[in-house]
Amino acid sequence: MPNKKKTLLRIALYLILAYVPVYILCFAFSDKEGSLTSILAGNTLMLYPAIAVIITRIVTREGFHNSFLGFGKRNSGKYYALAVLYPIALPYVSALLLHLFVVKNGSITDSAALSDGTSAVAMLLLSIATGFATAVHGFGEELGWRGYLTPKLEELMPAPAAVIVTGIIWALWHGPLLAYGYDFGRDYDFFPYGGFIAMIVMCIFWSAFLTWLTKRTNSVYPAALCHMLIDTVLTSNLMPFTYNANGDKFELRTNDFWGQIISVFPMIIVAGAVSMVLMWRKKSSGENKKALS
Amino acid sequence: MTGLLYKLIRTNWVKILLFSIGSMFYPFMFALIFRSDDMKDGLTSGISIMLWAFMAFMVFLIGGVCEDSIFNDDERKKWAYFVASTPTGIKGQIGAKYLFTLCYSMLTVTALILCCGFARDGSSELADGSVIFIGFFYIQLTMRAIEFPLMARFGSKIGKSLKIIIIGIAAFIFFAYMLFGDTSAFADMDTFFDRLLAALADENKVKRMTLWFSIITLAVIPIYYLSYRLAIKWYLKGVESYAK
Repeated sequence: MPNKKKTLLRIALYLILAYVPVYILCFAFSDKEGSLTSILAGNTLMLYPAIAVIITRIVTREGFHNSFLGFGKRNSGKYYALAVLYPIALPYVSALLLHLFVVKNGSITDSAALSDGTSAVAMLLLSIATGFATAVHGFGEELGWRGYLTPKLEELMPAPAAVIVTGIIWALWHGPLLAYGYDFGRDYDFFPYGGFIAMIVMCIFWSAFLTWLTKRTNSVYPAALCHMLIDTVLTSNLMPFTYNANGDKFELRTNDFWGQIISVFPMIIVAGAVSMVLMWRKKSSGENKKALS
Repeated sequence: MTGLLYKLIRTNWVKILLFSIGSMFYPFMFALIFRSDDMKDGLTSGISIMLWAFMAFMVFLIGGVCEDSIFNDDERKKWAYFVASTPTGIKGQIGAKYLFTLCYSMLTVTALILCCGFARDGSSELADGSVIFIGFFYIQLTMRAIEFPLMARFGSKIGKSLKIIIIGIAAFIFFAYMLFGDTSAFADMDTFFDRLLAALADENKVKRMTLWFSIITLAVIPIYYLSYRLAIKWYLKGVESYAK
């Protein structure tokens, strides 16, 4: 019981340190449209969870053991490869779904991306290069959410529940931005609550996938790389599929919000669900072996 | 490898800290000056891009010195043979140094981006230097990818000299081309920039240039990995050249 209380206190301290600066900056510098007026504030947002972890571990004298700061187990290469390949595949699978189910006029071959292959390839390569060079920002979030919060929550509840709670907390951490239209815009029913729900769903499944990467490698770096690549690759490479070769936006059967959900969410949900099953199966088989021995 | 990386940071943390503070001093001072009211009127986007490039050059140059000095920190035969006999082995010894360089360069990019953001908050005329910083990040990795295997094979002194010779040869070839090659593009310098701008206005040329630029940039990552493999291969041969 005292251990549970200690863990709860540590989680509370971490959450205060991760949430407070982000909420203050986001409300103080909000442009009321989902972005920030201060570039410096915007650039630092992703670093606060890592800063919160460092302060929490120092203040609580917890130390830095089990902080997933090592470079991983042997044969972690395939998980690093997956951390790079998943964000690269995401915009293209999403584009395919967008054109199958959402776009009303024209096909995927008419899109700006496919009619100008040179620019599309250059954009993809540059976004990967940018994501790799700026991976410290991804590390900033992942050290906090996957490297600290999820393992701490696992001490209080079953692993799948810890992943779900982390996802919800992670999504709400984006609250001030979502409230003004970050990620999903403002042009949808139930704004901004619909955006909050969508973000929570997205963050739960991404949380599962990123936790799986972290657990398999025992390192936070694949998740950090994956997170940053998702941020740099997804939007920049999906956008050219929403315009035709003349630069006109395709007509959609739904609004942008639902278009985004129908096209981008399936791969996020599938990857997250598969990760959850893999994590659960591994854990149950480990428990069965223990029981047999 | 993580243990060796920890040892590397633990034994060099004062040096790393001083180099980090020292290298970021210039950009931070520049950012402060950029924000001052006197400077705001005189600064254009083009000038600020040049200044960001100069600062990034300085920061990565100083960072490069730090990365080099850490690479040759363990140049002792006893240590080299000891580490080769451990389960982590040469892969860990070399890998820790390559990873340190990678992480240090990534942190440099982040620090420069934050510095640029701080300056741009004070003056809207300033250009975003992120692309330049990322470009310098890849140049830095390329330089280290050339230098580290040479330092592993021949020791730090000869390795660095060889790198300078390679750069010197490249510079010599460039100057020889400028003297004897086809330099018609530079024949009339009065119209050079007009022609350059005209070329940049050609959409297809710009697309091709961007594609080549992106391929070269991303190729640095596998080159860096190959350099690591080469350094592992050459490490024990290089140990023989150590003085101590």
